[in-house]
This record gives sequence, C-alpha cells and structure tokens, in this order.
Amino acid sequence: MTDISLRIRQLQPLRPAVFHILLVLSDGERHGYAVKQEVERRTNGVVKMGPGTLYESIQRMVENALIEEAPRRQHRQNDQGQRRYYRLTSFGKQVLQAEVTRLADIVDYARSSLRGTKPA
Amino acid sequence: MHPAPSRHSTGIRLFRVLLLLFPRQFRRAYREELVQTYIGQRSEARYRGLLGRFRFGTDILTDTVSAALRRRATVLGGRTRKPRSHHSPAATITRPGMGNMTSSVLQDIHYTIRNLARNPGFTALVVLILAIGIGANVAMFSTMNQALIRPLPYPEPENLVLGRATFNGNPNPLMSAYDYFDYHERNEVFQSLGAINFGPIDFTITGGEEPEQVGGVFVSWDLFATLGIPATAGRHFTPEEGQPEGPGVVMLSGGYWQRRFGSAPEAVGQTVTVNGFPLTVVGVMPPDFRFLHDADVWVPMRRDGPFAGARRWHNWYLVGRLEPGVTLATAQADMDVISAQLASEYPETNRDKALLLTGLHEALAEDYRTSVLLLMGAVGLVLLIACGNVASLLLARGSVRRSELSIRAALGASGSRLLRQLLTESIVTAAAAGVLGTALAIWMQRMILQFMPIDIPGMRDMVISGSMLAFAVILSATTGLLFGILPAMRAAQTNVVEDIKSSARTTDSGGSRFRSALVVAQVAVSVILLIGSGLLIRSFATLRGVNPGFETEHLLTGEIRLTQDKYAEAEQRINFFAKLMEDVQAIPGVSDVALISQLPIRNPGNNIYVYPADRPPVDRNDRDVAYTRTVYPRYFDAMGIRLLSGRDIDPSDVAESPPVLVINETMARTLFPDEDPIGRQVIVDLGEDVSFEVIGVVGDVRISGPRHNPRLAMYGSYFQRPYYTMGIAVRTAVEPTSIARDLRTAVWNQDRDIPVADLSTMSDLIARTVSRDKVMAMSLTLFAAVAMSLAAIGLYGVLAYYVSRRAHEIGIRVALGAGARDILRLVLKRGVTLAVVGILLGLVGAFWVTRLTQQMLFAIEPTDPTTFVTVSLFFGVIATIACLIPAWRALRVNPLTALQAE
Repeated sequence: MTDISLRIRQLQPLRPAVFHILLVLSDGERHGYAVKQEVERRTNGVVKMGPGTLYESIQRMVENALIEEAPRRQHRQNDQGQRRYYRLTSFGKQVLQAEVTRLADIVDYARSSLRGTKPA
Repeated sequence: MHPAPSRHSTGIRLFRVLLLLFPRQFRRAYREELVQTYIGQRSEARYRGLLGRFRFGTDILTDTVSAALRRRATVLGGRTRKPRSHHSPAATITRPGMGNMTSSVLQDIHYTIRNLARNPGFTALVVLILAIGIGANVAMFSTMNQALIRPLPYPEPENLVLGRATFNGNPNPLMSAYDYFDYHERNEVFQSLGAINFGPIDFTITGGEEPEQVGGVFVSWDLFATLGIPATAGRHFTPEEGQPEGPGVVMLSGGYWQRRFGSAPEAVGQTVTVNGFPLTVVGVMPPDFRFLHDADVWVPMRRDGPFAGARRWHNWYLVGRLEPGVTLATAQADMDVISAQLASEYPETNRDKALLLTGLHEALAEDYRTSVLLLMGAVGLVLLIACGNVASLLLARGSVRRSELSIRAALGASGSRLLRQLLTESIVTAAAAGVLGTALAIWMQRMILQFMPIDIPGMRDMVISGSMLAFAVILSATTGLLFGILPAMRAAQTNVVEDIKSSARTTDSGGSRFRSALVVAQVAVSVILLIGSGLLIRSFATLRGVNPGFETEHLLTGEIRLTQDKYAEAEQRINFFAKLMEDVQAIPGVSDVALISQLPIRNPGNNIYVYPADRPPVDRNDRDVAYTRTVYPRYFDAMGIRLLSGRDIDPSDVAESPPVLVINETMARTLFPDEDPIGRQVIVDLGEDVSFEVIGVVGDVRISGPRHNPRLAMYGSYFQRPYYTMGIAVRTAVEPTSIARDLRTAVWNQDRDIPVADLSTMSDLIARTVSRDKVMAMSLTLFAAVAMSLAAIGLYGVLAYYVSRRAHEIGIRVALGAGARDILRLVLKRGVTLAVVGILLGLVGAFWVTRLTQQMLFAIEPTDPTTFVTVSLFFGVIATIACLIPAWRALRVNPLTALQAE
C-alpha cells in the first residue's frame, strides 16, 4: 500500500494534459482524438492539446500504467479501423483520486486565506 | 484504408517530416493517429482564414517540437517510472542511447567541422549570405508574429470587438455618442461596451511652471474595464463619473504620471487644471498601456458633453467585450436588430446607418496586414534565391570534391553514408548562419519598426520570443536541406571506378541541367520582385507628383488655442488674431501669413451637411456633406490657392453683415452644375439650418493628403464665426523653421499662457502622409535589387561553367573555321534562352502575385503594362551583360591550348 502511495506521490503534481486525459477517460474508454476534443470542450478551449502533446502524454501514461489500450472491439462503421481506444487502469483511478484530493486541499486553503483579505 | 482525400496535402507531408523529430519507436506506434489528429485539428474554427492557417502552423510547430523534445528527454534520461504492476505496458521501452547511429552522426559533424575549417573563405561567404537571408526572414517573421498572430495583450482578447459605423453598407468608421448609448443599453451580447473618441485632442494644462499642451482622449467610463486592464494607481472611472453632471475627473497615462508627478502615488486625488477646469486625478494607467491613440490624459465621455451632443455627430469608436460563448455572428445579428430599431425611430439620421463589428485584433491589423505579408513574402523569395546560389556553388564544388568522395567510397563508405556526410555539412553551415542570422534579426527587427511603425498594442521593437527562435531553427534547417540536398545527392552518386579513371573533362549533363533550372527559377522570382517594386515606385512617384492645390514649400504651420476663461468674448479673440497677423507679418523673412480653423493635411475632418437654398433635397439624408472651415482674410493668397471667380473673404464680412462663404470648385460643381454659384444661397446645418451667400469660388485642396481626392469644402469668415483655436501657416523667404522662435515670441508678447507646440513645416506633414508608401517602395526595391544581383550571378555562373566545360568543343569549332559571331551565338543562345524562359515565367507569376499590392497602389493597376514591359527589358539587359562576360571568355579560347589539354 505505501508502495502505491509513494508511486502516486512521485507522479504528482500531474501535468494539465495528463490530468484532463485521466478525467475524460474516467467516463469510459475513448480514442486519442476524441479525448482531445472532449478535453477542449469541457475546458471551453482553455486546455488545448496539439497532436504531439496528446500522444506524447498518452504514451507516457501508458508507460506509467495510468491508462491502457482497450481490447479491440467492433467499432462503429464510420470509425477509423486503426484507432486505438484507451481506458483507465485501477492505478490510474487511484492517481486521479489522489490528484483531485490534493487540488481540493489547495482550493480549501486558498479560500480560507482569501477570506482574510479584503477585496481591493 | 486512407479515406480522407486531403491526406496528401502539402501540410500533411510537412507534418510527416516534422514527425521525424520523434524517436522512431514512438513514430511507428502513433504516426497514423498523429496525422488523423492533425487533420481533425486543422478543421477547427479558430484556424480558419489566412491568419488562422498561420496560427495553426505555429501551434503545430511548437506542439510537435516540444512534445518531441519531452519524449526524447524521457527516453534518454530513462525517466519512465514503471510501477511494478500487472498493468505494465506490453511494449517495454528500449533506449537506443548512443548507439551506432548516434556515434556516426557525431563522426559526421566532427568531420564536417574539420572540412569547413579547411575552406574558411568559402564557408564564411556561404554563412554570411545565408545569415543575412535568414536574419531578414526571422526579423520579418517576428514582426508579423507580433502584429498579426500573437494575441493582443488583454485578457481573453478573442472576445474583444471593434464597432464601426457604416452608411449604406460603406464603412464610415465613427459612430455618434447617442447611438452608442442606445447600443449600450439595448444589446444582449456584450459583457460591456465602451467607446473612445476619434483621436487625441490638444488639452492645455496650467498650474505647473509652464502651460503644457498634452494629448487628451475622451473614453466611456467603462472602456478600460472592457479591455480588462487595471489601473496602476488609483482606480478606473465610475458610472457616476460618466453621467452628464458627474464630478470633474481625469485619469493619467503612466508616461504623463512619470513626467509630471515623478510616479508619486500621491498624484491620485490631486487636482490638475485642464483647459481652465479643475479636474481630480482618480487613477493612473500602466506605463505601457496605449489604446488607439497616444494619450497623456483620459477624461470621461458624457452625454451632451464634448463630441457627444447629437445623433448626427459621429466621433466615436465602439469597443466591446462579448459575453463568453457569444460568437461574432450572433453579436452582429443583435447589432443589426438594434440598428433597424434606431433607423425606424430616428429616420432622419439613422436611415442608412448600421454598426459593423470586427474582431479587435483583425481591425487593428487591417492597415498593416498587406505591407507585412508582402515584405514577408519578399524576404522569403530573396532567401529562396540565395539558397539557389549556394546550391549552385555547392554543385560546382561537388565536382571539385569528386575525387575525395570517390576515395572515401572506395574505402567502403556507402552511398547513404556519403549523402549524410554532405547533408550534415549543409546543415552545420545553415546552423551557423542561423545563429548569426538570429543575432542580426534582433537588430533588423528594430530597423523594420523604425521605418514602418506598427500601431498594435503590445508591439515592441526588441523582442525575442519562443516562436521567433523556433522559426529560426526550422528555417535554418529547411535552408540547409534546401540548398544541400540536391548537390549532396548528385555528389553521393559516385561511381568509384569511373571517377578515378576519368579525366577532368566530364560533361556532367545532369548537374548543369539542374543548375539551369535553378537559374530559370531565380530569374522568374526576381522578375516578380522587380515588378512589385516597380509598381510601388511608380505609385509613389505619382503620389509625390499630385498637386495638393496649394503651395507647400516654405510654409511653417502651427496651432494656437485661446483659453475660454480669458477670451470669452468674440471681440477679444478677433483682436488677438488681428494683432498676431500684424506682428508675424513684421518678422523678418516672413512673406505672408494665413489663419484657418483647420489647416489642410495637418488637421483634416469636420464635415457638415449642406444643400442649395432654392433646391432642397426631397430626403434630408440625401444632402451633401462639405468640409467646413473659417478663415481670416488673405488666407487664399497666402496659401497660394487660386481664386476662380467672385471675391475673397475680406474684413468687411463681420458679424453684423450677411453670412458669406467661399466654396471650392468641387462644391460649386456639385451644388450648382453648369450655373454661376456667385450670389446663390447655401443652407448649412449648424445644429439649425443657416443660410449663407456664396461670394467666391476657389481651387480644390486635397485636405486629407495627396492620396485622397478633393471633396466639397467651404470657407466662412473668421469675423462671423470666431473660433478659439486657429491653425497658422507662415510663408517665409528663409528656411521656415528658422522663424519658429520669433513666432512663439509674437504669441507670448500678447499672452504668456498660450502654448505654441508642434511647429512643423508643411512639406514634412505631406511627407508623413506618404511615408509608408515610401518605405514599402524602398524596401521592396532593395529586395528586388538583391534578388536581381543574385540571379544575374547565378546566370553568369551557369554560363561560365558551360564555357569551361565546352572549351574543348569551342576549340575544335574555332579550328574548323567558326567565326567570333558563331561562338558568341553559341554561348549567348544558351544564356538568353534561360533568361527569356525565366522572364516569361516571372511575368506570368507577377500577373498573379501583384494583385496583392492592389490596395497599396495609387492611380495605377497591379497589371500596369508599362511596368511589366520596362522590367522585362531591364532584366533582359542585365541578363545579356551577365552572359557577355563568359561569352567573351569563350571568344578568347585558344584552339591549340584547348586541344592540347586532351
């Protein structure tokens, strides 16, 4: 157990791209381009990923076992045959959970310290 | 398998090349998906249009390069943390490290440096040529990036729009304040909607040591909040301060705050006296903040305040911040609804009026886009030609190095190994040129902005950005490949046995064919540039030759503003200027003095509705508009404007006598076609309709500068409308600026509190209106000259090579009795063919390309036949000269020597 939490801590803080990919994949498996579109839609275009960043992050996340390639399945007809689908691993879920907790702590801290100052 | 038809576009091919930056394993795994994503991203809305495509290019470039670097760093550093879990990926990471491939690359570089150092002169020449080319391109790119691509330095700049008025669909950018308030209240699409007036107004600030003249701009109370720029000290204006009876307040620019208050925070809350009114300083904007105009102070816009008194007074630009999620099209639709409402509520003023929204960045860049893109294209083409010359040089050297390469091949180097060696040489050369060029670019960028000021927020003359460096890297690499790849491929195709055996006299037809093609391309490109510059020169010459309608030489101009507190009575103002006329006349060297409410060129604008009294228009919207001016007697004489009929304004045209007007030729022709205008009545809309009698007709003056055709203009008598502010123009027999001090003294003798700033000669003012045309014509001519010289050198090189290769053949011909004429024809035919093909291709290219210059040209078509013919002939002459030298050398071939060499 401590081994896992140590590994999680090594990965933190997650880069924005990694965090958002995890977040999108927590809703179910998707292929790379769909992940990118969904991230940009959810963040109103604030987080933008070019093709290079997208697949570099995916590769890194696969290497770190945060996500894995989903087994081949019968894709819809208009889908490109070559597209690979990705899904969260259980380790990925734990990392995402840990990151969310970490961020929530920061937000709490920020709120409480802002309350002490008066708006200009 | 590959369904999308666009898969093979150039962009995708380039992207595939770019992917080579990734480690091979990564590339293999993801190539197809990367390309899919690339295609998907390209179709996104934010990448539409020409600028969008530029942005897409830079985005992809930075994304790919940075991702590839991260990947390589991961692989090299072995930073991949592999948790010991059953989820470990199947494909384990292999680290190629410094394997076979890498070490041989190092070897190549090592060998290259040794080799380049052995020919320092040649290397230095190539590096210098390329460095200048790369430098110019990087500098121009950085300028373009700052002006057209980089977002404006405001929060969420994509939501900012500029609102401008149109009449009957034609842009007439300023909107009335009354309309602004209506758009402000009725719209449902803007988070906030601000306004700013047409330009800085001269304010006089008193209370300091000397009266001071500053630039003041009226803004709506919420303009700065709309832009999203907080105050550096104090605060923005409040809504109450934007009310008609609001408190007297002012905001300072960072610059003025520094000059006047030494940036002391206590300045906020202090009072400054502006035009005689005490105003409280409520805030200071950041030092680098500047929006549309150079302003020292900002004062709040108010309904019925200055420039905001009526729906028919158009003095304001609108600046809006869209609600998040609202598109420009939606906002425009909302504006159109409001415009239609206003048109039906106020048909007299708003029947044909509408508000046009444009993205703020796009609107600000409008004026510069063509110039910047044109120059970018030109420097790009020059670099291309320079690459051609370097490639040509390398090809020539390739034959020299042939034996060296053959020996290496004989010792077991493979063809691809030799190719890589040669390419490494070009890349290393290009890299050196890139480093030097980037250094040059930083300096060149400054030059560009000095000669072509670009007025877009956040524009800076010394800036080194990531995208600029990325561009420099990519450009250098491309350059290296461009000039290196073909020579290298040719040189690497060595046949050991053949080469060691063969004598020096090979025909080398492939190489010279390639060099010929290069020369044709160089000629074509430089013809395009020459035609472009020829068009701009002709246009500029026409512009300089335009008759402005008055004598512009030896004229010193300035403006004199009387303050409202001391000169409240018309009598006082008339007396002041009467005395001033006398005093200035008396200055030695002064031959004449003219006084007018707004001097031509210096201060255009101020239109008003007019119509002939006996022929009122059916619809009041169909009235004509005319420039309105007030002049002191003798104005036309002093300015050298011809009086065509009737009489001049004279001292008898006083307030008690009937109001009179002198009108210009265009106004006479428009209002009274084929009739005598003298003695007719003209109705002028001065808030209420006032009738004036026409007493004279004068020649047309180009009030807004040589580029703009004369429009209707009328001149009233100063005694009937005595303004506070008058422009003064002093005609001198001596150098005009030499009397500046005497002019100031003449004013200050009457009143020490009147500033006399900004004295400038009329010739300078006119030169300023055409300075951009001048800069464009000059820089394009410079580029064209460089391109032409390079092409001529290329042509010369090819022919010289041809002659040296054919010395043997020429020798035989001479021995067989060929005359000088035959030999000349043999050589010239070859050179002239290349030149003619190049020129023809260039003409065709120019026909397509020069239309880009359309909007920069004055009174000349982009396909102007004179320019096309002149340039062709001119280039023909240059090409002939370039060919004659080798031809002359061919003539001196001694048949005996040539044959003995066998």
